[in-house]
Amino acid sequence: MRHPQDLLSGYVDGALSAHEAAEVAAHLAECPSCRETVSDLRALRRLLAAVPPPDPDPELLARLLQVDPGPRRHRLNVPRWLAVAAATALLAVVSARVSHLPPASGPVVQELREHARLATHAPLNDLGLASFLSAILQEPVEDNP
Amino acid sequence: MEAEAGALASQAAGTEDAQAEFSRLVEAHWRSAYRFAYRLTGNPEEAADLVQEAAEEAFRAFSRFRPGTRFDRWWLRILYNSFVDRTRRQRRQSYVPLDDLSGDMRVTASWADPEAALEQQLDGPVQRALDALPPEFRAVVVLVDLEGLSYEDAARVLRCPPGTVRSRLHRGRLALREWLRGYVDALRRGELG
Repeated sequence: MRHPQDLLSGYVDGALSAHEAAEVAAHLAECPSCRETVSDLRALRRLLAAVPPPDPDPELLARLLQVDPGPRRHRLNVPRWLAVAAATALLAVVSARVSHLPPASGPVVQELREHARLATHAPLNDLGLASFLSAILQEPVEDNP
Repeated sequence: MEAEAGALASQAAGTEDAQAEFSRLVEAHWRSAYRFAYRLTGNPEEAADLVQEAAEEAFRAFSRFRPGTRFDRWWLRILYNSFVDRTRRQRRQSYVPLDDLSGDMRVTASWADPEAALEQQLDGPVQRALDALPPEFRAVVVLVDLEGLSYEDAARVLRCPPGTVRSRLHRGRLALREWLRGYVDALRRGELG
């Protein structure tokens, strides 16, 4: 039999099947080096079992008992008038940025013009869009002749 | 409305029961969670952090815990997962492959000397040797040799087959045997413990 490797640890731990254990025992009878390993493993096990357990700080238990189920979502209590003011300011900033956009070119303009035409053609459907588009195109939106 | 209010109240009571049960279980098992975390990290602060992180995780997942199964094993499993995530995130330690470790590279005179061992606490040297093991080997040795878990229980905590536990345990032990040679020999001569 080859050296039984990790079966030796299993042997020391009494974690082998009867069959495996018998095989290992038979090998040990003939192999001084594996006998040596088994004696070392037994000693090591005793050594590790003798290591004193670390003592946790009792304060840790107190922290554990206050465990929170994770990050909470904070809802902001913002007065309605402030929310409206903030939204208006944001809108003002956004439209200012939009009006400063460089003139678009090529197919984009074509596309936008088409939209603008359609929108002005049916103003009841899309008046807002039409005025928005005419603003950013910075040129008069022509009605269909 | 009343039925609804009643349902809400019983739901709230259920949540409170679960919270009380969770606290009870944490109180019963926090020491073993800490021991495992301490041996994995080798550092009291990091161990406490890890235990807390694992407790938060366990609390969030508590509805999935099956009553009647062992809470400590379940918690250790969560803890080990957190630990693995951490080590992946940190990646600051570089591990020496087990095969490359020769005893004399790591063993210093002070902790290979059995006479010093008789006076010294085991904790430091053993922890240093554990630290030198790759984490998955360290975890197996800690669970089986320090915490006394069976291969099957260790396999459940580490989510690997029992056969893997046995082979990692063996390789981990062989490395520790070399690094702790002085103690092992002293024990065999009956000079220790």
